[in-house]
Amino acid sequence: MATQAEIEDPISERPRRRVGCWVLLALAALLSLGVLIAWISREDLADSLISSELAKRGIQATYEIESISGHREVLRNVVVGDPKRPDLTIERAEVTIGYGLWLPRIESVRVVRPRLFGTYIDGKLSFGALDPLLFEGEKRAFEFPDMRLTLIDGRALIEGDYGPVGLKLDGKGHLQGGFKGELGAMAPRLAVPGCSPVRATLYGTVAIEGRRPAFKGPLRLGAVSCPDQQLQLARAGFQVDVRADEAFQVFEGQLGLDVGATRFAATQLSGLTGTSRFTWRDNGLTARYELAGSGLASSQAVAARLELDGSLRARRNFERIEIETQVDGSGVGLGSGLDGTLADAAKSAGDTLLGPLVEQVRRQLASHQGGNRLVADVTVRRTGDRTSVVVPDAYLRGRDGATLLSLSRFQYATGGTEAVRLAGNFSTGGAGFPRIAGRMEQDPKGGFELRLSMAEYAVGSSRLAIPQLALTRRQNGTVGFAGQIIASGALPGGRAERLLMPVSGNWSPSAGLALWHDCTELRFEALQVANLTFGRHRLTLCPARGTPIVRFGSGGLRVAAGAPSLQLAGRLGETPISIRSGAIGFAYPGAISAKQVLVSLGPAATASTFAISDLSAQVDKDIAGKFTGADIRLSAVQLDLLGAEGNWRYADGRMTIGDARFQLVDRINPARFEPLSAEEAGLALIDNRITAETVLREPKSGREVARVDLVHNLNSGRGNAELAVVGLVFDSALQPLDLTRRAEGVIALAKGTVTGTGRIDWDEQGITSSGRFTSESLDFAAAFGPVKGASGTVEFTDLLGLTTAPSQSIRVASINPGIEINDGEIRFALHNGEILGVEGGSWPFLGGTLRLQPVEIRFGVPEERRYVLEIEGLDASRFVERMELNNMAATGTFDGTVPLVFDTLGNGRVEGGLLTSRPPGGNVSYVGELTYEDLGAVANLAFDALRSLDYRQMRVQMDGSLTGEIVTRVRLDGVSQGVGAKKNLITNAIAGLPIRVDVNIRAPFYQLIGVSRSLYDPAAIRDPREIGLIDAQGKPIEPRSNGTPSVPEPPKDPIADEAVIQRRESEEMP
Amino acid sequence: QRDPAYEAARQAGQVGEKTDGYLGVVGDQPASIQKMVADINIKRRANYAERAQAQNATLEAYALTQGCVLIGRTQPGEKYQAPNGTWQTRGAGAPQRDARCP
Amino acid sequence: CITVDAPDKPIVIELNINITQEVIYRLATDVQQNIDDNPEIF
Repeated sequence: MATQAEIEDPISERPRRRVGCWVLLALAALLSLGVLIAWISREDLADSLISSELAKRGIQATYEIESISGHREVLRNVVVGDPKRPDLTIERAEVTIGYGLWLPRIESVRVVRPRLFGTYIDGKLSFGALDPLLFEGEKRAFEFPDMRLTLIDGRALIEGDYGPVGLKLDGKGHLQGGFKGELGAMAPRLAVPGCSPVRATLYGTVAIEGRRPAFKGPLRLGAVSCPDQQLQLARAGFQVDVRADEAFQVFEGQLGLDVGATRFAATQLSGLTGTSRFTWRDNGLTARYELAGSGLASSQAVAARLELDGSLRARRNFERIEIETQVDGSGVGLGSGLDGTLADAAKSAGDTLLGPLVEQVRRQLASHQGGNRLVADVTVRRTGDRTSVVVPDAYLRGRDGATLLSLSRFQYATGGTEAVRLAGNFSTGGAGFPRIAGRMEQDPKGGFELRLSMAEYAVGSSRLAIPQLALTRRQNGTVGFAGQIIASGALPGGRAERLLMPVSGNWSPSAGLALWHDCTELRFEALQVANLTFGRHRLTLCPARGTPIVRFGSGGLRVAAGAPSLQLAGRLGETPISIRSGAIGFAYPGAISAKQVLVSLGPAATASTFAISDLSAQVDKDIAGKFTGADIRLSAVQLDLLGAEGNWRYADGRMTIGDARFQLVDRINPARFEPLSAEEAGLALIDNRITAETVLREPKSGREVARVDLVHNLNSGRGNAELAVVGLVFDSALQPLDLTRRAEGVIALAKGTVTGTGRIDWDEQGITSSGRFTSESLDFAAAFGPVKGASGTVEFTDLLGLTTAPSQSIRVASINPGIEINDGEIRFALHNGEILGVEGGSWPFLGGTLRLQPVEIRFGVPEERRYVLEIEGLDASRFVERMELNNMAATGTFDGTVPLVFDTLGNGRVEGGLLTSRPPGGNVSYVGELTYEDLGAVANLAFDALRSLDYRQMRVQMDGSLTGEIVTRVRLDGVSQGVGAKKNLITNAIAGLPIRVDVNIRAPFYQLIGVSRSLYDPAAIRDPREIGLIDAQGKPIEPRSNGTPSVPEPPKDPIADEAVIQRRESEEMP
Repeated sequence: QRDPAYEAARQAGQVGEKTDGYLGVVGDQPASIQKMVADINIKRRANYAERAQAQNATLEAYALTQGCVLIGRTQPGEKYQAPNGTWQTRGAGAPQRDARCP
Repeated sequence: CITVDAPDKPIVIELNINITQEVIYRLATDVQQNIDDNPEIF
């Protein structure tokens, strides 16, 4: 009897067989009982004869002879063996003797209620005292005696290794043919090795036909539980119909089988029924069987119904077994274990393209659950301890008839001295299932090789194809694999399209998975990582020395790869990007490092380029790291960020750069500004928009120049930058020259603070910029002389081009082109930083205003410049007061123009300056002490006149160098003696006369002022030593013999000897 | 402690001391030299303006006097302007100077 | 008494004031000092 379960494990067959032969033994013992009686009576019926026979055999027996006659003997209370524990008791035995030819022959025996007691210990059956009789006999093949037997209520009890077995036999008939009887056997605790005791009952009819005994009837076993073999049977019923030959050598018959719930290791069977025809001959068993298991459930597969029919041949006492089976399973489906592993696989590969594929396989299997049919024929051979299984072909067909799995020429052999052998082809198919074709075969070195290929299996956007993959299982248990896969779909953190990837590596239970031991070339149609997408490319990745690129084992996933160089072109969001780098290394968990990375971002014509010499980053949840030596050229803005370094972080689509440092350099030559250093710069790249903020400092002084907030859209190329000059301080440490070379030779010695804001906008058309800059008080030196206390706000319409809005006005505390002019206000416009269009300037000037007429100054170009100053409303008295001419007084209001010409060196000259008094004129008077020596009549008159002179009109003409000497010609018309003038003869005489007084003052304008002060102020006179007239010892320093400086020799001048005048206080003139 | 570029230009004879107290460019020189001379002259001009005001002298007079001294202090090999306006190279002896120089 | 008849032309009184000073010598020492004070521009 071979069932599906048995094929897997031939060992479990023995106990069943032993039980089976046990039954046979019991049967034989009973039959032999009858023979025993016959044997006794046949020899010699006489009491003495019997007792001598028994005694001869040392059998202790007592009996009562009820009657003995020629033909019938009746014995009563036969007790054989120890009377206290008899081996055999017979209530009444009747033997009829027939006389054959020459020997008395027992014709029939009738035994009433015989009780036989035996033991079966260590495989030896013994009936105590009866043994010599039973087992001594000749060695001839056992043969039924030729007589009739009637057994009434015959019982036997055999105890021993297998627990007590009670037998009961009733029956009558000729022992060589025609005997019929009822047999019942009961073993309440039948001990089966390795199992818990089983309750077994056997009941049926015994018949002997033609000397061939036969038994027919049910054998029932109670619950069987064999922990050793992990076998449990709820109940088992066998319908036995067996016949033996005379010599009990050959048994054949039929066996009906009905087993209840069976559980064998993890496999459960709700029921097993079937029939088997078997013959047992010279230690060999051949049987044919049809079995049907129902409700098969194992971790691998489930089946509603499994029909096995086939044959079993066993030789030499099960030493050689051959089982052939036709398997026909219906309602076959996926075992929960297999489904569990698929579920785990789907979860762990969840976010990659494998996830949906495995999930689809599971869903398909689930939808096919229970509807499939398994058809296979299997041959199992076992010789000695070498077992081999051969499955010529097997099909698993879906409900719709499509073949889900087919197995062909499958061989598996194990055990014995030879190595494990495995070979066979398999292929999977069916709607919605991957189509895998594989071949398994032995390789000479004892390992086995599986070659498989899978047609493209697609679920949604995930597609996987395995053109070819070879797995070799070496003897040490490691599995090596090499092949190629083409995949499209989601990858952790991105997607790939038609990623062609050679796969090579190995897996072992201890070391886990190791992938790519040497350089591997990947090819893809498209690869997307975050929002970076690359077009068709070829990429070679190499492992670090001695370690595979990918390792996945107890230590978790570790990836380490490098590429000698990298060249990728694609898009970042919608912006074209191309990346080129030198050696690049990547490890996860771990760091990325790349050298000489060149990234160009944006359309080729206007791409911004990032050249980074060294880039490194830590890789875990997100990527963060450092970069140094980066040169960034923003195309839209003609500026370069050089030598940038800092750290960067890339997380969920956002690239941010932190505390970066770089030099901001103007790409235009000659540069509009000197390189500025940026500190603590921050930059973020989110969806194509770069935002950056930084503080720009002047490198040498480290002083903050401006704060910049920049926004740039990589895609449109549009952006803007806002500048905030919080407080730009100029002093000895920082000069305009340091900020821009253009200031050299234009402005120097700046001192003061400038604040302001600027804004630069750029787009595909170009750049516009504007700004407003203010200073409370700024000093600086310019070509025309030092300026102090400039204040005001200047509006720039083109900041970068240094062009201001028209009519900007600033106030100037003082400007000294030779003469210090105070509190001026200039209106001007600067163009291109080169042309200063002065629209006008006005100064309060001695009661009136001094106004500068529009003029155009070209910076940086030494040229002669002409200015025209208009004087309006000059108040003579303020003039005198300003010049601190205490002893003078003057009234009158003057207007006029003073044309100035500045030469290339910046020296100013007055050319044709003319001031005229306004009607009705005014008065000039000298109130100081005035003495005069022999001045001549007219001169004296003049002096007197000067004392107080009214004039109708005064005209003042000026010519000469501001920095040198100015010739001033004063003409007074309509002169008459003013109040307080000394009247004398002449003055009265001429009182009415038209007198015109011309005064020609030739003096340094400066000195004019300086001299007049010294005229009357002794303190103003300087120490001669100090002014070089006499040396330290008081000796006058002899002027050089060759004359005085070019200043012409002054004519003797009355006013000049003021010192003299001062000392003679008296007034000699009448 | 002169700016190195200025010192080099003086020694190379690219620039020289003029009689009017300002620095002059000798022959035609690159823009950088011209810009440097302009920058120094602006600073001298501002200096003269303040010193002249303090000394109650005209800026021109102060500048002229300064010129005399500067020419007097030129090192051999440096350039200076003679009273007749031509560029001379200072030798070991005294330079030609305006009669009025102190 | 004497009468002076007013000439038809106005009587022109011409005064020439010439103010010069021996400047150069006065400044000699200050100029020297100036060089020492501002070596970087001389």
